[in-house]
Amino acid sequence: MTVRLYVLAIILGTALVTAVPRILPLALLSRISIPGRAERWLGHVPVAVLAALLAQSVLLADGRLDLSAGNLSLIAIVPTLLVALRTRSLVGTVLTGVISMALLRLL
Amino acid sequence: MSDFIIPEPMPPSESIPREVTPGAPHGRFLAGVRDCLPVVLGYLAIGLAFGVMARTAGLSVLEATLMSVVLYAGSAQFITVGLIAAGAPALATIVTVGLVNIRHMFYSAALAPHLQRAPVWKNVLVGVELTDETFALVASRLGAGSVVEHSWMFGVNVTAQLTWVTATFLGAMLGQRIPDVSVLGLDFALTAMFAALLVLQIAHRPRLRIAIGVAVVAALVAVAGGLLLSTSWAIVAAAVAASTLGMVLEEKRP
Repeated sequence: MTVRLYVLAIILGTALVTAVPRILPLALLSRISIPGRAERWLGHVPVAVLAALLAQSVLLADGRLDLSAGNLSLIAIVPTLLVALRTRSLVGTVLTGVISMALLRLL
Repeated sequence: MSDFIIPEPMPPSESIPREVTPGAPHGRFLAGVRDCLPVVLGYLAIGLAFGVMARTAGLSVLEATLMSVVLYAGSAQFITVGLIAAGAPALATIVTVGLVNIRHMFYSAALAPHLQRAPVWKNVLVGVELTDETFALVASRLGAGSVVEHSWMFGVNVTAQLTWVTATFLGAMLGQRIPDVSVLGLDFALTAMFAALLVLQIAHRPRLRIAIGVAVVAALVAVAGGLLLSTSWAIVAAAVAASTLGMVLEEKRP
């Protein structure tokens, strides 16, 4: 149970460079009134980021595009998206996804 | 367990900010804990894997756990451990992680209009625990004029990080002795969560077609960028390109 100085320096350094972009915009922008144009721009960020995260986690495997039938995420996402569109339920969608993936891995 | 269902969008109101999570702060904190469930499933699976990997790469249990407490950034932690195992210089590792995590700037900025008029320390506490997944959770609740409650955010954040740290510790303690949990499909919980939240958020946007256009462009840029640049920078490129497109389309035909 030891912490090496080299590792500690890396943990603190990486934490610092991670915390700054996490904190700074929230701390500064919430103090000033954001111009309407910037606010409209920021309003699109959630959809853009969610679509980006989803697309990457389904289509990319180890940094490569995987459109083969061996890409189980690509198959499991179909029932998952259907349930999301029909029920609009987060928990229902997540359970569908997890169960679909577990079943696919069993096969 | 009450489900996480976004109500029908209300007509836009300029004067009355919509309370996203009504109720007392105590109840809102608990609502945040409950809404965090999908992240808990995913973080359990990935946190265990991280703990095992960190031990394999030569980190001590304390080092691995400390990293999840202080750094708390999924993909960046895997990269860091890989670089430590390769004996990379500390500065190079720190710069790499800085580049990987710059995308959090957009999450933080997108939240800012919804956390106005709050003491800075509260926003700092919300920001320091922002991850892809917790931002995804709150993003599905962001609409024009909506207000995000700090207590709800704290409920989500504390639950998510507690899960991450606990799973890391368990993975690091047990190492190779833990069974492979991937058979349970839990690692897919986060992907499914992104899918659900994307659908909810698009349905929530005032202009459906523009929102779909933004999503398609973001997905394309994210995948193309992931192949050409890095997955993390591709998120930045996707956010910039797709949000700009959305804003331009919105202004073209108001």
